[in-house]
Amino acid sequence: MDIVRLRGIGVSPGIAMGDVLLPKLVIFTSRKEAISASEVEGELERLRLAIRRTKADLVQVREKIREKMGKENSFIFDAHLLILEDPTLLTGLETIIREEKSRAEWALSKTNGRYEQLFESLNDDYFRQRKSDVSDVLTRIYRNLDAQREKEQPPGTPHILVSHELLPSEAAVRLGRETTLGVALDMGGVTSHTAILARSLNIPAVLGLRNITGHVREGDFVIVDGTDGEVIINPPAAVRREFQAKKEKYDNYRRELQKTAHLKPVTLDRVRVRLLANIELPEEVRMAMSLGAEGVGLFRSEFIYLRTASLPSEEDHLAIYSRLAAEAAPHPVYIRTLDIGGEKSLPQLNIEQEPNPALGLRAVRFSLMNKGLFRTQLRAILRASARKNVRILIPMVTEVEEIIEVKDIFEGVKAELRRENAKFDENIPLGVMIEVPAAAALTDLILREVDYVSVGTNDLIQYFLAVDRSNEFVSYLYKPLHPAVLRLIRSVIQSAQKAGKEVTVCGEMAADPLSAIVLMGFGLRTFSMNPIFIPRIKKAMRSVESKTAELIVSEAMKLRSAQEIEEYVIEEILVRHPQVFLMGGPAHTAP
Amino acid sequence: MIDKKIMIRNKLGLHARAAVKFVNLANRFSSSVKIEKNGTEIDGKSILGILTLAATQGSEIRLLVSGKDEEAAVRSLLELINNRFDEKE
Repeated sequence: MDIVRLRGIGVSPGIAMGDVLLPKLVIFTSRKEAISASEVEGELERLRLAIRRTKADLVQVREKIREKMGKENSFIFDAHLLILEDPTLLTGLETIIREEKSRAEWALSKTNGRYEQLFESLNDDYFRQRKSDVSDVLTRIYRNLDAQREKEQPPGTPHILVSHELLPSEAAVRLGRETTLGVALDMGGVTSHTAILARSLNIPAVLGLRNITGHVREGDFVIVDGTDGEVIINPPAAVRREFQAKKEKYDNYRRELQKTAHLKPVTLDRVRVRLLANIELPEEVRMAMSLGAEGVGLFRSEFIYLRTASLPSEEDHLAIYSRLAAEAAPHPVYIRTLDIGGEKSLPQLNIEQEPNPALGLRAVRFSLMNKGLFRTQLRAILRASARKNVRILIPMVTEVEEIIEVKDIFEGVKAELRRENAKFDENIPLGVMIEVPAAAALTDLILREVDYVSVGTNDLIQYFLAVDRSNEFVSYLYKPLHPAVLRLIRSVIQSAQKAGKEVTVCGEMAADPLSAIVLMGFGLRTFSMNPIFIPRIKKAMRSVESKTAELIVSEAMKLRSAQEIEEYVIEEILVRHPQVFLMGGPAHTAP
Repeated sequence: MIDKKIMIRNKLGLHARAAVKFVNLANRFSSSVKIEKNGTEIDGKSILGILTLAATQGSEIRLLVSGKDEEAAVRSLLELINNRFDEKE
């Protein structure tokens, strides 16, 4: 057997190994098998039987997906059922069998080709893409023609799923099975539907392998290393042992993380902190909770715009937010309104290229220029708030006037909903992100207008230090512990305390143990971060006294540089609490 | 037979979700439902037909409905389109 190592994109960390399952992609036949006139009726019956089986499959899958992943994911099967029962499709298939006296396989292949051509000729990209829905349905019928092939694999055999590409409907079904240990695809990248699902379900996955389907056969043994983006086909025993060890190490690490989930997030002197998750998909809520998140501190709504070819409707937004609120309840969900513009552009929004995107028409500036879009989003967030665990977060505010304008629109939308008798939380908290230094300097005045603030440290530091951290020539200047940055953040936290309002930090500083302890020393109690880091922050918090942190940090603020501050804090903390920065396992391999 | 011209007003046009609603509604009536756009006529009870019309926002279509319950069918279908398929935009 050939040993092959392939590099791809590791989109979901961890190691999986097992036998390959290559789902039978139906290669539509190009061979026309003739039948006699007397066989035609039998062939038609064979086709109808396959259609009935397909219908039963689709109904079953739809119910399963609806239950597991919500209505917005099961909708696709409503469309597929209608395609299956489409009168023109059935007559077309039957006509081919009758007139050409051919097998159903030929009729399906010919029909697929016809629709492919028909859809290809459309001049709208969204409608052109629908050809894959037709193929999806025809493929299912094709598979069901053969009674033996109907069940392609006995469920219960664990396997590594290898395929060219997965249709969204397929990804949901296949990854939802407990027997799928790992995934390796020719196509796809970090933001593909399969990648997102794999991460949320904790299934190791490597995508973008180009041609793994050309290298493996069903039954080959493969290793999928989702951490380092590698797939090894038919590894020799030594390599297998090596990866077995790596797998155990990673799995142990994950288990250690999960174990901390039930521990209370309190400091040694019993000060309660709250650790929330930054996420971008409703599917991630469960994983975040399993890692100990007490809610979603930052829901990035941009992906809602990424998943549709055109602009999402209010119902599209609502479906996502309702699900999010339901999954997180009774814990809170902070939904950040669209943070797009500048470098984070979307094709359907036709945003103009700007010479200086970071300082351009972004986030709330964009929303206030596109009030229709903004209202749609606010309406959906409000309509999802009936459980009273939803909050609104406005990104990139620069001056108080913007907040006044946002509130004006917000009140208008509320009044509209009242007239429509829609249910929503009248007291839904409205907060703003503090990421522009000007807003940080105005925190006390801003807090008169809003219920809470959330500090986005990544942007705040970049703007405050005038450093683009992705620019390799100056990124060394990007220092979260820069004394100026710490003074600014301290003043934000203190302003909030004085106003008696909540302040959250949701940038990367919240996920770094040392920075988080410094923030805690300033009086911060709510931290929001990539959920994978919650266990290590919880562990750090549980191993220090808030009193000690306060003392050390107030001394540290007398120092002149980030380096002096870092050294001083580490030293002083370690003297008193040697456990703080220890974290078993390869924390750096986490995404 | 009733023959009505109407404009598709919702943002996404007669996309898959809207098409599902249209077909499901049309199927509740015994009348035949045809849609014509730019000289192409398709069966309004066929989702494939509707999708291949590629009727985006602002498209003018004609509904040609005939049968016993044609009046009720036209009324319901026009309402669905005018309500932008219950979509907000």
